[in-house]
Amino acid sequence: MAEDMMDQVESGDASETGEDLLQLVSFKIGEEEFGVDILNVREINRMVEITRVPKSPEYVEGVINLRGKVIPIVSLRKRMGMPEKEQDKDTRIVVVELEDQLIGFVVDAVSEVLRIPRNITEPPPETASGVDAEYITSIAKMDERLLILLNLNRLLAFGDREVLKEAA
Amino acid sequence: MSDELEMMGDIIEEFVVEAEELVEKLDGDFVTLEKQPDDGELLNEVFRSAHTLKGMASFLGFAGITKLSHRMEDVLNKLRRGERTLSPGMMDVLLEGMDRLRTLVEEVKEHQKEASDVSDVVEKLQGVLEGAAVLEESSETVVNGVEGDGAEIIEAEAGKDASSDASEEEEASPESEEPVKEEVPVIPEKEEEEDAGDTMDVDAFSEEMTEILQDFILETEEIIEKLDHDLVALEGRPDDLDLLNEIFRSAHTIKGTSSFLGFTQMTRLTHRTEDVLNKLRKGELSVTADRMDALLEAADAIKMLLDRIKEQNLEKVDLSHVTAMLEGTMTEQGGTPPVREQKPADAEPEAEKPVDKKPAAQASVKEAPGEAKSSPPKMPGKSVTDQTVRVDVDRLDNLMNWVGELSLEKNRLNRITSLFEGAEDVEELSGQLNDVNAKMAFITTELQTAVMKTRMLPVGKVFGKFPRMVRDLARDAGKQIDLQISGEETELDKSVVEEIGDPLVHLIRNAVDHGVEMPADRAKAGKPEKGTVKLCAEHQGNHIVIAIEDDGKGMDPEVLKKKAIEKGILTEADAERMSDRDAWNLIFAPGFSTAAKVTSVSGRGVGMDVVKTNVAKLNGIIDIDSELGVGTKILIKLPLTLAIVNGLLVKVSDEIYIIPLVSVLETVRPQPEQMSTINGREVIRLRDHVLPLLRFDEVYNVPRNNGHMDIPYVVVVALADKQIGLAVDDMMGQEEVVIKTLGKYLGDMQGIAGSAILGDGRVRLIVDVADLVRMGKEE
Repeated sequence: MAEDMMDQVESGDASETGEDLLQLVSFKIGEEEFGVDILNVREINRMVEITRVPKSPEYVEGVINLRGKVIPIVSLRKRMGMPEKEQDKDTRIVVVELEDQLIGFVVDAVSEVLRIPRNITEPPPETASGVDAEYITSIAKMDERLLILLNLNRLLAFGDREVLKEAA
Repeated sequence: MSDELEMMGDIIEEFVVEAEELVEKLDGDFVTLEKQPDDGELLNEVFRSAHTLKGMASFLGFAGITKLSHRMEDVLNKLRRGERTLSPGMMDVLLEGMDRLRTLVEEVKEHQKEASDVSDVVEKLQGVLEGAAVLEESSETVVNGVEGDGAEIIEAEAGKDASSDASEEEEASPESEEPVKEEVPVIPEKEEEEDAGDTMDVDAFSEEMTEILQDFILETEEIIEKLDHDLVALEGRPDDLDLLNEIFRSAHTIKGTSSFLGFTQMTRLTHRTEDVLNKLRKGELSVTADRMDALLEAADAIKMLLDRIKEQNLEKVDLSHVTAMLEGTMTEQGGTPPVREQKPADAEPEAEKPVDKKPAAQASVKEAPGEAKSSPPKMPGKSVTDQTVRVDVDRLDNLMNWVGELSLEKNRLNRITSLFEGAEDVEELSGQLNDVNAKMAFITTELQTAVMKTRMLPVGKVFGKFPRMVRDLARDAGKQIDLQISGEETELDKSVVEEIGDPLVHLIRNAVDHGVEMPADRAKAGKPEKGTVKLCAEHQGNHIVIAIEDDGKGMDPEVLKKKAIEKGILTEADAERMSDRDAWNLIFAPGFSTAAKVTSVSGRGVGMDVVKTNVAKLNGIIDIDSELGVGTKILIKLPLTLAIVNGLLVKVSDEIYIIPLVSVLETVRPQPEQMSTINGREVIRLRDHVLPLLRFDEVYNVPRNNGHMDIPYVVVVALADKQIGLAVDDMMGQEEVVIKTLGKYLGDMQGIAGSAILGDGRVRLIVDVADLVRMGKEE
């Protein structure tokens, strides 16, 4: 997987000034393509066995052992209200670091690392393809495709703890 | 103990932080309370918060906060006991009190002292206390008619309030186990006095000095602690010249170091103390109770001076009282009995004149400390300095040693791995591999133990303060008590040591106050006049068991039940079928206090509640055994460490969970006839006990394919004084695991204490027995 990611880096659309570039990790959930800032991403792992945590919010899949650390795993599908899907060989756990904590989230497949100029991003429309607008930072329009840039803090319920608590 | 002091650091700042938290919490709780006025648990919670705040403030001498929180506590106490119901008007006053508390804390934060006057709110609260009807005229009735109508109902309460009221110097609140009797009132008054008491100016706290100062503080703390201990010992062995010399040397050292650093007040005081000790040593004076009081008083004063140095507060303190006492003991020569043997017979013949050495004001506020107790030792818990451990070099060497062994084995492992490539004799290699594996397992276990040991402290750290405390308590109560301590070298994790001090204080106070009888009563009962309280610690497997045992009057289950019924904690029907053991456990119920008369040691039943809460927090178990007329024994069983837990692995459907072994009493394969239901709740009968039974899969929503199960195994878990049965599918053995939190993201999950990574690399969850027991109660 590492190689195909490297390939893709080269194929990134943007190579203008090098200054106002966003470097993203993009991944797929269903037919849609999402991106998160690469600076947040610590690593990408294959699926491992997840230990369920009773009474946790429904979108929390459980916890895993990441080299001796116990980290929570969130299902982005459940979090964004999309139908569930059996895991397969492409399923990945993207581990991100937010507020000094590691959190993993499950995605259908990781596609590539890419660079895009900031100026091709737009604020999200009110209803963006079934995903709650509040979880979206912006939308990048590239040639044939649409990349949804996710607001991880929102999505992973930072600053949204009340919801988490209630659910718990 | 010196640790405890070490941790106190900038105590005021810490106080502010904690007080702000408490006020914040109180605020929220009050609002909830208004919506749920019948929530007893919440009321207790609010009461405890107010109580803690009062304790801390009184400890530091913030009179306004103390008074105000004291009054609020009074009102809350009435609510808690159901003597009042919460009216909106009452809530208004309480909330007003809250706001003023917040202001006061603000003021302390800004200027290190209180500025605004709160007597108006205090009066309003007083009014509420006397009944909402008299709210307007309340101002006239502040000082005397304290309890008004409430008085007959609980004479204890009235007595307490009247006396604490009479002495508005609540700030004096003496702390017997934190010997600060003298200094506390001094702080607020001296605040304005610019008259610098010590020659050292603020430069004393420049960076270069800090290190020297820290050494000085650390060392002096240790010496004072020792001094305290030795002085109490001396009272019992007045002829022990070695001990006297030891004490003399301690005082001398403090004098030397303090004079070197220019703390003149401390130097002068230790000098005087040394004078007295010198005369004792030479046999020119004999050891009498009064002299001991003066010396102990002096030790307290030195400690107080040290605390102030720690706070970088060098203002002069009024020590005339202590020095006068010391002087007095030196000139009083004629009046002292010439024979030394007169003393040793028993340490407390002075019981008849217990107050003469203390200023009247302080004697009269003796009521307060019972509750104030709980808070001061808690404060250090949050300190930053608290995060360091002093480790014996031997232990570090040992640790190094094991790490060395580990890397040796790692190298061996590397070599074997490389040999595997293209190896023919795989059998030989696998034999070697097995060998390495076994060694690695051994080393890692040792390594784990060694690391754990760096966190271990002897429990004696906490025990150290008790001889003095028991002495003072016994003297004040006119009792004769011998405290026997054993097992103080027993080690346990630093975090546990810190948490256990508080409950022990309460249990020992309880033993002294409620357990041991007055000398006359004891004589009548045919017991020696001098009672015994035993405090003993020992290891039992992976646990430590601390026993507090007295040879007093024991606890009468019937009396306890009656009291509990009176207080509305228990219904008559429940009392009927309650076992003795359960009756004894009633003393841990919030708001339960059996003392007919409130003394300095028995509070409002907060103490035992604190014991239970703290022990439960540590996943400990409390066991009581008592025999009427013979005595009471309370056992506390605690895990040695909070970082590693020995867990029982249980299987439920397809999931595996870890139950901390310290909480497990036994596991049983229940027979059908043992199971039944009471009021629709499942219970299991175990010998003469009936325990609530929880089905693990139901509590933890474990998905299950095969319908309703029968119950192959039941794990009996206990927490503090409660027990429940937990139905599981299978036992998977036990394993020692390192506890890992689930992290901030998941936060506190109900029923889960944390997680651990097992040998197979999978994460398993550790069951929170405290939550389980609570659920067992609620269901």
